[in-house]
Amino acid sequence: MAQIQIMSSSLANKIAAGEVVERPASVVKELVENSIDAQSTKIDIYLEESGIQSIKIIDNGNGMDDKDAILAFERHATSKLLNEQDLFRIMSLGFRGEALPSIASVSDVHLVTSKGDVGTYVNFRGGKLVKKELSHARRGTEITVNSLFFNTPARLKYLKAVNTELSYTIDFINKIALSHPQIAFKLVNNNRALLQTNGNNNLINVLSSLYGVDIAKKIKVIDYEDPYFKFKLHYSEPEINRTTRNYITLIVNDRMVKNNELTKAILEGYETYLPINRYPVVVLNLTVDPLLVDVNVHPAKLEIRLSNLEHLKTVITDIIHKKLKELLYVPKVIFNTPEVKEEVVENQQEFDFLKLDIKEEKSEYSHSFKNELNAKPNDVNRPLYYQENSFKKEVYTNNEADPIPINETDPIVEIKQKIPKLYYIGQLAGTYLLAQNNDGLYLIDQHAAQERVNYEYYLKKFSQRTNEVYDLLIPLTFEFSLNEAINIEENINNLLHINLNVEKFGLNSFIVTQVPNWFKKGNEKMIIEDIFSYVLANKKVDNSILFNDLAITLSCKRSIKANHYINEFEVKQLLFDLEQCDNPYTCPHGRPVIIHMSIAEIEHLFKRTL
Amino acid sequence: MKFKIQNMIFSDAINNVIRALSTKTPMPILKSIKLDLVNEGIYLTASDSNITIKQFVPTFINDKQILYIEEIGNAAIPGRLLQDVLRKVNEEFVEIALYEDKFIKINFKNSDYTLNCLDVREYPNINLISSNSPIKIEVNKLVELIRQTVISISTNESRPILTGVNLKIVNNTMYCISTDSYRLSQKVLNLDYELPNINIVIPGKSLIEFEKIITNSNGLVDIHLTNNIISFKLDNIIFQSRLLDGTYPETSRLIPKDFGLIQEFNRLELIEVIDRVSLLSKEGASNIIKFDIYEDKTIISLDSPEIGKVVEEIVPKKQEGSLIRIGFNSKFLLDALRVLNQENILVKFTGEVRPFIIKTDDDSVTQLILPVRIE
Repeated sequence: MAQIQIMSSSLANKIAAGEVVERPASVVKELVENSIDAQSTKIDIYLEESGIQSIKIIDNGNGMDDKDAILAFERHATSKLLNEQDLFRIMSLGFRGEALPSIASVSDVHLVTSKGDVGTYVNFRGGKLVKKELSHARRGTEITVNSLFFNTPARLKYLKAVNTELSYTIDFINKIALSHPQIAFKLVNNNRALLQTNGNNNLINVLSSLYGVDIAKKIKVIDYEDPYFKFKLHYSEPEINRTTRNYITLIVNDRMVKNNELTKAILEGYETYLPINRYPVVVLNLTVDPLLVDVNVHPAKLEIRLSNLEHLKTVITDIIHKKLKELLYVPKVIFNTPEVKEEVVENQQEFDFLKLDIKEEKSEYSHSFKNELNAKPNDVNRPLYYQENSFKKEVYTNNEADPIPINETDPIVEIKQKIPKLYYIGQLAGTYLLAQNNDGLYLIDQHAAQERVNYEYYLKKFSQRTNEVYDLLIPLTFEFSLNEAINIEENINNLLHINLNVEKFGLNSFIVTQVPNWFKKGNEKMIIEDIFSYVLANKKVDNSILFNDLAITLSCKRSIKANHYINEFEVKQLLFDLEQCDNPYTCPHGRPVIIHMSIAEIEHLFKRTL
Repeated sequence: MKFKIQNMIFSDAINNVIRALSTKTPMPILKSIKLDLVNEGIYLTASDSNITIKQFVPTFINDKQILYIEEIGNAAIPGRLLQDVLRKVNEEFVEIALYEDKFIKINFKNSDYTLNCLDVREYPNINLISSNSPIKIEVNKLVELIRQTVISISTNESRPILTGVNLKIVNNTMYCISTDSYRLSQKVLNLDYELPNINIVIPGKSLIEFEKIITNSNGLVDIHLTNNIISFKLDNIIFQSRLLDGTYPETSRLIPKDFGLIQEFNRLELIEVIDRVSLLSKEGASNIIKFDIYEDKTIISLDSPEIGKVVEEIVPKKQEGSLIRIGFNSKFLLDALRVLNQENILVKFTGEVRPFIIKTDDDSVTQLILPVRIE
């Protein structure tokens, strides 16, 4: 008997659902796109429990008659493509004819639809028609998806927390509202209205209802047109910047898409106008001949392929750069900002270091050297060791070197061990201390060594005065998009532990009324934004992480520099202090403090042993 | 353009206008000082598009001719370079001439400097505003007003509006307010003539620069206003600045009115003590000093875990009210004390975690400081 069979349609649908229907947000996406393709001007989305319990979408679009209402649930049934040529000029959002059957195969779908004369009600459960009857004749479609994933427990199990799922949906609605300012969207979860746009075709209005009035006020518009394409670009002045790229929205022929190349082109336009790791608020609305775009890359249709991409990228980068430069002439811009910007950069980097440092308590210096030496015995100028993470942050002279793999056989006791007793030989180039013991030669970077000593000292001392706080005379306000706001609201209590008092202030803004004293005056807003981005990345925020920043700066400033003679007594004290450190092997920036060459290695270099 | 001018007078004018010169700008022409030579004298203009300063130097000063004009015209000369060259010239007069629209020659004694310069026609046309009914204020009053308020402006651009001084006129009373949300300065002046109500925010940096220019002058300053520009005029100098955009926060309810404890100190004595105690509050270390107030004395202490401890005693001249213990930033108190003029000052406390204010006999000025709360 033949073993290969055509699979049943319900099985095929469930498999397709695996690709298209990942979470409530993807159901909302598919259904809202259907409503848009049906020329709706008003789309209301009602969720229960973030859509896990129920998703109801009501539109005022074209609707369907009773035959279409059944046919729509057949796989590859679509009204959007009729023949193969159509595939190359896709102007509708959907076209594959997969979404509805896929959704229906994993949930309980109730559909009420009408073209304005007769209304039809159908109910599919697990992909099977359960009920069909006449219904009211309001023009448009009302579709309710209940008990999503009721028959695919594995999918259901891997849904994230209710609020996380909600934030995905909000994020999608944000983007779709931006790509369709002519449609009035309303999103309601558990009877609470989360966002609403008025559909008056004004993108600035949409931006204002999604991201807040403050951002919308700083948005500028460029129109561009040439024989290949035209676009409308809404971009923020550089003073408005965000910690994530999520505020960059790309829309191609009314379809929200992701395209790294275009995002990069936009960021290049902003280059030097924004601090490192800050991103602008941008909505790019691109219109091209559908023949030049391929949207049929992935079922989710987020990715696209564009012809003439290089030309488009150049145009976008240049136009943004030019406009931002013009902005500078407008007296609004403050000419002294470079100082401030440098501050930002410093701050940012050091916040990054924290992450590295904390993970990087272990060091395998004494062991790695041999591996590396064996690998390239002639290359004596390269740094003898470094850690993979710190390597990315620091500019080494020979950054082509590969990270050293951790030697699995290293006994763990070695890692916790303090540095051994050392006997001082002398100073090299006023910068490195040479010392020896029975195991061989040690090179110590005097600056890095004192930095480490100071760093641990400050960290300890700072924790003694964490509880001084200010109740600000003028509270600080922060605005977020709704999905971010929901995340932050959940974490307000955690922030109290670091003496940051955050209060909700309207639907998607917060005020900070209390800050700790150690925040650098004037930089509070930046520090708090960084903390919020920590929160949004689901990281735990506590004092030790935050102090790191301050301690690193201070310890670096107050350490002896390179090219500075120190006498033997000072060296002894430094080595003694270093021995007391918890992690004497790296400086707070992650660079090595101490380098060891064993006698065996030296003998090997001199070819005394082979 | 060709002229000979007395170096000292010319250099003074350059030193004034150069305060507005851009150091970093995408428009290189703004690094130049614009000279306009007319029959009556010479105008110098510098601008960074936030601040514009224009000064006029007449041909005669006190009947003495200081400027000899050979050919009128205009030019844009690299500002810093011009200032540096003239600063090192010992001759009484220098001769300056424009050649081929792109070279400036500076001649004195046996020296000949040729500087490249940009075409003056590229210099942006800067509108100088004026109004029919300027606010008039005496120089010394304005200097004091600026000094007493700019200490509390925020120096960080993250909240731009707080980098300015809020100037309000309400029913012929002028309020000047600044705050960085840790402290607040307020100066109130009664005007003796009719003025319309206004509410504007002047960039603090502009005021600081203007104060340096006028600090040794006297007379009356005219203040002209439009929607987004303020212009000060004193003698031959026009100093114009953009205003900050936005609404200044309402601060009137922040200043307490009832006080549980009032202390009177000799101002200089208090400055001396606080200054000494603050030695232990070097950068990064705690700068929080504590006042432990007893019936007969006040103990001022600072405990900086990284550096050490200090305890000083001071006896107030007068004291009335319930005893408290309060901690705050020593720098804020020092800044506030240093810009006051009177011999004695009053420190008025409301509570241990409530803002306190510093007053003098001169009731026009209030300095408010926010204490640190220990959680």
